[in-house]
Amino acid sequence: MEQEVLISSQNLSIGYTQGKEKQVLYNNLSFDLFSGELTCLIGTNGAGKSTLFRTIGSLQMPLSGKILVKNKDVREYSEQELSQLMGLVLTDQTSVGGLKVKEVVSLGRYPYTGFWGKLSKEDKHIVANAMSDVGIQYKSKTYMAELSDGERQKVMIAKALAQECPIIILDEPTAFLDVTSRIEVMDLLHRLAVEKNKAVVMSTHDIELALMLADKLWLLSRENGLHCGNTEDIILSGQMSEFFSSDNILFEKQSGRFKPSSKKGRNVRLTASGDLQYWGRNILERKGYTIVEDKESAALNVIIESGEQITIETGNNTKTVSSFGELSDYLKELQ
Amino acid sequence: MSATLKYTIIATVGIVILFFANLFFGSVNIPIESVFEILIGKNVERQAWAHIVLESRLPQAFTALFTGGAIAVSGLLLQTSFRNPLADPGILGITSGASLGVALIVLLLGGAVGGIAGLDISQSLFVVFGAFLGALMILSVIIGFASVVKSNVMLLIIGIMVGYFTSSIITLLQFFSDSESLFSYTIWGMGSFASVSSDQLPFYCITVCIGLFLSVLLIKPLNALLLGERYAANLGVNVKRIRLLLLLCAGLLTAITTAYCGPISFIGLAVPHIVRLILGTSNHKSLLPLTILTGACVALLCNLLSVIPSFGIIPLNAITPIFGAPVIIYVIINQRKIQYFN
Repeated sequence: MEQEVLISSQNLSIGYTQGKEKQVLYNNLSFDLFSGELTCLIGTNGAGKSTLFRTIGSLQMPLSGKILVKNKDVREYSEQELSQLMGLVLTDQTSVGGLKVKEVVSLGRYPYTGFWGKLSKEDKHIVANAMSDVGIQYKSKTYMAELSDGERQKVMIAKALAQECPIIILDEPTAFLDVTSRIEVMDLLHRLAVEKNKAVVMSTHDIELALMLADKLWLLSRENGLHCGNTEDIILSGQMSEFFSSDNILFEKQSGRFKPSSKKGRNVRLTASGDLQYWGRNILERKGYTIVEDKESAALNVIIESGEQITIETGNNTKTVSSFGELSDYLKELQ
Repeated sequence: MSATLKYTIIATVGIVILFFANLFFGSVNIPIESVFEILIGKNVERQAWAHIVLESRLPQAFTALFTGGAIAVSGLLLQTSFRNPLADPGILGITSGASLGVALIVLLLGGAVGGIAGLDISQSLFVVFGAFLGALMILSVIIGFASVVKSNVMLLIIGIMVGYFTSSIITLLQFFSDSESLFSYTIWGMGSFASVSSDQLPFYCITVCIGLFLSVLLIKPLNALLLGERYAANLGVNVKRIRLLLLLCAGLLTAITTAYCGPISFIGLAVPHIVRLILGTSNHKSLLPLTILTGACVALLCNLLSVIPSFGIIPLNAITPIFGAPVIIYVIINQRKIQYFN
């Protein structure tokens, strides 16, 4: 399928107007949002992710500049046209507890239905499809109040799907969800983007998942502004660490994770393979050791053959322990 | 849908029974056959009876019917638009705004205007106008705060404070006014469905019907508003216009009913909750029409209870809390259990 730029910006400034004063968050933002891709917006708390989304979603006016949706200024669309172009999933509190799942998803048909909001056969079909796309159809007659947070989030996504918009904007759809629901929701969004050729953009704090599933990344910080790019390009160019690392936190390119940067501790050489290597490194770094390759500078030599056989060599001393717990105790003894 | 249909039938039957009960029973004992004969236009031996039935009981039953639906639905509109289970015209200070308007007219011009029940239509319009302006003034204050204050609880507190503020002006007006107008204002404040005469009834019913009609037109956006204003805006709702229409509609209904019947407490707050609990939905498609019907039912019942005692008539506002207070307590205690505001 051909990729299409659905949203782009021109000299966009976003922020708030308080009375007569303009509080500018960002000047000259530029971005393109493509169809058929999942884009993740990553930024620290207070970076202005929600403000950016609200501005893109036309819930808030830009301070200056333009947002183009399908190459037309967003302000030239009527409310109804816009509601058929962009579907939003927000963090706002709702009071739909007394509605059933199906009724909430049906609200997504609002822009299409007539004065009384009566659903046509086709509308009902679209609502049913939206529910089965997110996998919530078996709860269609359940009250919203009886759903878990993850299920609620899926219903709101189904609502956005029922809106049949080429663009879906989601503000932290995975916040407050447990690990499995987070993966489910993000995987779902990625699939929707690819299969239905929609432009899906979401903000998240879940960096590991974002790096895994996002086609494009938007990095936002007050110091560096907005950077957009292909996920892997951004990681390998070192922009992740540029944006978010500090003295205490370090981005590890290899694993795509943020880590507390270890203080310079005693050098240790680790001999292990596979997951033993990974978790061996994990425990040693946590205990304040620095992993080195060469034998000479290492004060300690740790050989992990299996979870039950771990050998620690210190100079002329050799000790063998039979679990990571014992390894931990022995390391404490050495210090 | 079947629950909605079932309850619609029950409410309609209830309204018919209670409406006729309101015609048959009252502080004066009139045989049921005579009431029938009067209603179908036959002459009865006692002219006073015909007068009581046609000039007092009939307009009163109609007034209760329309007023109950009006107050209940305006409570529902405010609860949805403020997304607050405790919102109603009284608590948000709108009723006290109307009271202020009436107080200004009755107490300041007291001697000139006299008792409200005795007003002819032009003067009534004057009082209605005062009540409407008063209600609208408080409404705009609340709307103004609503755009600044994000928290619903804060807005509710502001509403209560505005209510106190208007009450203090009313107290001042009362202090400086003569006893006659003070008395008529006090009686007005006790609430009564008896103050709309048969001449004024068409005007009253038409105005209420306009408000009710407007509220029915708002069913679709009301459902979208359950998602919150931003979601509603994303669905293509012109939130500003709808909110204004909602408040205007609630304001009109509150103002007209308060102007004639006095500030009637609790019905606006309690009835929407009763209907939500019975129907088990907050979908306005069934909630709103049934709120109107149930409001009419409850008002007719309250009116019946207020005229039945043999020693005379009990003020309406002494009866409505019997229905309203338990519901409010239930809502407060079971906030977690009552799911429709989550």
